[in-house]
Amino acid sequence: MENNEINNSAKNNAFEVPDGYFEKLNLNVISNLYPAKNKFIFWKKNSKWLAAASVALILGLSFWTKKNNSILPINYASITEEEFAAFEENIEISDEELTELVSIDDVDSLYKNTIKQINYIEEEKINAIDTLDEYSLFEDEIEI
Amino acid sequence: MLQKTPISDNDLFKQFVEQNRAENLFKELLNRYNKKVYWQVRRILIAHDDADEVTQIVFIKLWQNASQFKFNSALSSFIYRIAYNESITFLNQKKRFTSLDNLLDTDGHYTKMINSGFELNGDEIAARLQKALLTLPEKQRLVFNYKYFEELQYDEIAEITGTSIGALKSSYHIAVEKIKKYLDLN
Repeated sequence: MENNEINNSAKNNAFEVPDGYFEKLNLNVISNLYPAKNKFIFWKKNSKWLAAASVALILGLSFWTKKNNSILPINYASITEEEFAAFEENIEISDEELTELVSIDDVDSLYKNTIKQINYIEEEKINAIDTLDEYSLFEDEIEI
Repeated sequence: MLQKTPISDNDLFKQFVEQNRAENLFKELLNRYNKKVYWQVRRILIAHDDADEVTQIVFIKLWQNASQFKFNSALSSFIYRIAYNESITFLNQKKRFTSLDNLLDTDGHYTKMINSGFELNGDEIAARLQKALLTLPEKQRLVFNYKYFEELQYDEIAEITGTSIGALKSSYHIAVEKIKKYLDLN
């Protein structure tokens, strides 16, 4: 190069470097060589809490909505306290006597509502299991 | 007294790979190349923080991709190639968020930095040269950096950048002419 200003002195680095930078650089590089140890696998670490929270949320919401819709329209109004007390004291009660205490409609209604409740609980169980499965699939994919 | 000849870079790297990426050998490689890589990257990216980030990435990638080096060329070319690619990647990512067009300082951002003396060590001639370099298009600036500052041969630069030697020579010649003109006018 002919221009005298582009000479060897211009090869000096024009830029400033913080003191001790290159020693720190080496340390930083070494500390980042093993990312697996430092990886924060969010889902894996918190999967149990997240699963429990989601199940609780689903159940809570379900109960809240179901409460408003009332799936337990069981009416015991027609059965008096004396009759219940008598029933408890007299375990060995004949069918005829039992039918006198509780009407067929009430029994039928009670039976149907119980079946509904059982089905509902089974559905919620399946939903919870699906949610847990979903999270266990997720945790392998997501790493932060 | 016989002086022990230091082990060559390629032999050192070979041992590093054979010993399953021995950390002590990697530290030796770091000591040999940290400044070279940093300054190469710094001249492209200008800002220290950016250069620091990319330099670290370069060495981490060297560690992770050690087995990809086939020992049919100089280790320095392999490392500088990583540095070149990572610098360009960094700039392309930055382009999405700034007005930086390739490496051309079209918005004057880096020129303003240099004018303000930001992160400069007070060497006026060197600072003027940096300002001149910022007026050059990407390829010319990169070639100039490798040829002038790193004093690499054209075949090494060709290996790093993937550009033909003829194109590199042409770019360098044009870069020199432009810098001379800039320094004459400024």
